[in-house]
Amino acid sequence: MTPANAEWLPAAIAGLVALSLVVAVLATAWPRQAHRVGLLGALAITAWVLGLSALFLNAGPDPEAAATRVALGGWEAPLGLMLHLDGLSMTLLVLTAVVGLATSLYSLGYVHDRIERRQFWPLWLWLWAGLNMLFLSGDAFNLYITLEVVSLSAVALVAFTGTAAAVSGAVRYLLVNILGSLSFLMGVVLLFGEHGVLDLLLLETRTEAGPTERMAAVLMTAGLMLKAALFPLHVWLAPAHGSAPAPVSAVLSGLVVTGSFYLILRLWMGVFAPLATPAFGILVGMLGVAALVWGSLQALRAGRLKSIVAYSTVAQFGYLLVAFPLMLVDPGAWRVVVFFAVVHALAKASVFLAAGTLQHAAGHDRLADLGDVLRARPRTVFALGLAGVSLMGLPFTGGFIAKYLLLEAGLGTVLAGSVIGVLWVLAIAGGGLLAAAYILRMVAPAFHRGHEDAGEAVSPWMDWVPLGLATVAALAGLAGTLTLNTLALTPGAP
Amino acid sequence: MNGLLVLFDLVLLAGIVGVAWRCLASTDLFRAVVLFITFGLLLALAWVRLEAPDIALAEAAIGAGITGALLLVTLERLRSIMAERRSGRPHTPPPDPTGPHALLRALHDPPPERRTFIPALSFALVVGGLLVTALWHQPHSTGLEPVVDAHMDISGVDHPITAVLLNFRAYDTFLELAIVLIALLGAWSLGRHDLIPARPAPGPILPGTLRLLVPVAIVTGVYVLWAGSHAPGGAFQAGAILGAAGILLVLARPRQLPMAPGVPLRLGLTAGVALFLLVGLYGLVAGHGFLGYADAWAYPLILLIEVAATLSIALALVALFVAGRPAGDDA
Repeated sequence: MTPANAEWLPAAIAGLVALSLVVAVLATAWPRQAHRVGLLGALAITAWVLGLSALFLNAGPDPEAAATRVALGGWEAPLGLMLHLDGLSMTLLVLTAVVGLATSLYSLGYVHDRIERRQFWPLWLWLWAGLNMLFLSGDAFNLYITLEVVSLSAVALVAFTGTAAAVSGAVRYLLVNILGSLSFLMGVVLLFGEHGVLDLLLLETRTEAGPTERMAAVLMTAGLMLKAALFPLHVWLAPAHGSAPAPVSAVLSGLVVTGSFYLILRLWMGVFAPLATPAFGILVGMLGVAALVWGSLQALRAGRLKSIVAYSTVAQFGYLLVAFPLMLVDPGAWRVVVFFAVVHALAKASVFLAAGTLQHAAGHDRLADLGDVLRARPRTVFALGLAGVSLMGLPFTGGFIAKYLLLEAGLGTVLAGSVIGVLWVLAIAGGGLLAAAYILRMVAPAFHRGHEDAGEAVSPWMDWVPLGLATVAALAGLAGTLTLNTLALTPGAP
Repeated sequence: MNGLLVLFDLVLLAGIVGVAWRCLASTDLFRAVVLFITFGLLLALAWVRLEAPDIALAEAAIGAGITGALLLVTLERLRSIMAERRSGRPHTPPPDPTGPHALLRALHDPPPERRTFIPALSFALVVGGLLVTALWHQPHSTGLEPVVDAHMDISGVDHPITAVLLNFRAYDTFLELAIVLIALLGAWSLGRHDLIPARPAPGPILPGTLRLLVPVAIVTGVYVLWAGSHAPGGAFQAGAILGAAGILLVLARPRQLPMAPGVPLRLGLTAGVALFLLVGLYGLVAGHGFLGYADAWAYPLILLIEVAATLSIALALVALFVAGRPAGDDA
């Protein structure tokens, strides 16, 4: 690491947390200008994250040198709290910035009512700040609090429209989140009681495969699985994601769920690594296969556009579970999993934004009656299709690269002599086909003969942003090497 | 003496479990809320027995007091909404089974307990049993006490809990303040509250009690805030006590309450977070790290932050009790 980097990187990390918080607090205190504060803040945070990633990549290629810990208030662990930046968190911060900026621009058009604007922006900026803090946190208890910031603002945003469906979806989401958080917190308490430290790196050096660790692992993983809507704890997802306003659904399906998954991955690669056994991996993989099949079937049956997209999140997260047994055979496969999650988040967010535009134009999102609007809005349909192609994993998109790498890892396990590897390969390949089926279901009405009716006028933001984000999702394949190289800068990970 | 304490602990434990059970099993929501408040008070006693007076104070003030008040006012509103529905529109269509109406019906129709009873009980027993086993094997760990004690002289305060909350782990406390604020933003995003009409109480007892209680609550709140630097207490507990005084005033109002002005209210609500963040930013720029203080300045800055935080917490709790945002906030 060059001396300049050594000096700037810690300040830039603390600065990112400070900047996100300043933006959120300013929007809260000054609601009249909340949308302007939000727009400027979104641009500033995105620029800051990109600058930070440049600094971070410059500090490589030695992972030990690039990964940086910042002591808040000058108090080192175990007394104080440490922020922690490595390749994994850097990748997810960039993802958050891209999706966050797109969502902010989209919201300029989507949330146009003066009163609604005052309520929406502060909550959304708190959610964004919460995500940034979650990815930068290196302390078990602090992770719990950042999770709470994220969930609470997400719940408020789900209820935002105030309709009966939205409020009941939000209450369910709140109860699930509280249960998940408390389960996570109980695990943190057990770990703290046993080892007397909260810092993740210190915990990592002290944990072994004892009864406390097992219990903590079960509690924390179950809590996070509930929050990430991983099969079989997914039932709350579709009502909550389906009834939220479009930009909120995009952030929930793209980022919030990914945040919980990030934490599961982080914990199992660090603190709980001694507990991972092949049998556990196979169990998780089986859950993944079930999620793939069940989520896809629900998406094929759903009658509302946003429900299809919400169920496809359940299905796509099945891939992430299928990847766990692969990681036990080929430890390096975790980078592919994260890349898959990144591409999925980009594509899923753009699908939700496009669905929001169609819903706004038509006044509803019943698939059977959407044909006229779909035919009249080629730009939005193209965004839907482009992001969908990436979700299916057709060649030249980010999704293709991700699934190709996953398949490669799966075949690797078969070659390594694992019989069950065949199941993983079948699931990965078959899941793509199921995805193709439900995505074609969404765009198919556009190709039927019939009337064209553009419906209600939408703002240019809502017209163009989904397309832009879908393009980013499709082109993400080109950034595959860069992402994998960034992820390699994670010390301690294989 | 020791034997008596053991007996007390056993009775307390049995009381906590029993009250929790009665609260969950109750089909009458009002009784459940009252039992929940009792549960909070017993829990506060348990914290005292565990030698954690700070948590006991917070549990009594926030867990039992403010949460209980919030639950009671919610119940009252649900009942009045239902009464309106019954009298105003006798031929309403059947309610949506998943909508908020389901909550309303739950007031009268007892939930189908029998069906879920056995699975819920066995799940709780398994998880509880595993937890007890895990705790049984835990070594007696001193945690971070020695480290905290070693740094007390440069923390700026004399009470270890306050030193951890506002200096060593100030970031966590900042985010907890933010969570109170976010909860309020969420409640406000759902709608405005109506004018709060006067509720003149018959007889001298209520106004007289109020006249005595509110000043006492304010003095106690300020004392708890001040005591936080050297004894159990601090912003959250003080904010809850002041908030309780505010809730009392809202409940027993002899005159119609004036609409809160939008801008000053917003500034008051964000004062705690904003000031905390400003101090933190100064620390970042001055080289003490984000949310850090120079040793000599630690005490005055912590006190300043605690005062602002107390004000914001008290305001937020009263605003949560009123629930909707004031009309002035939309101006």
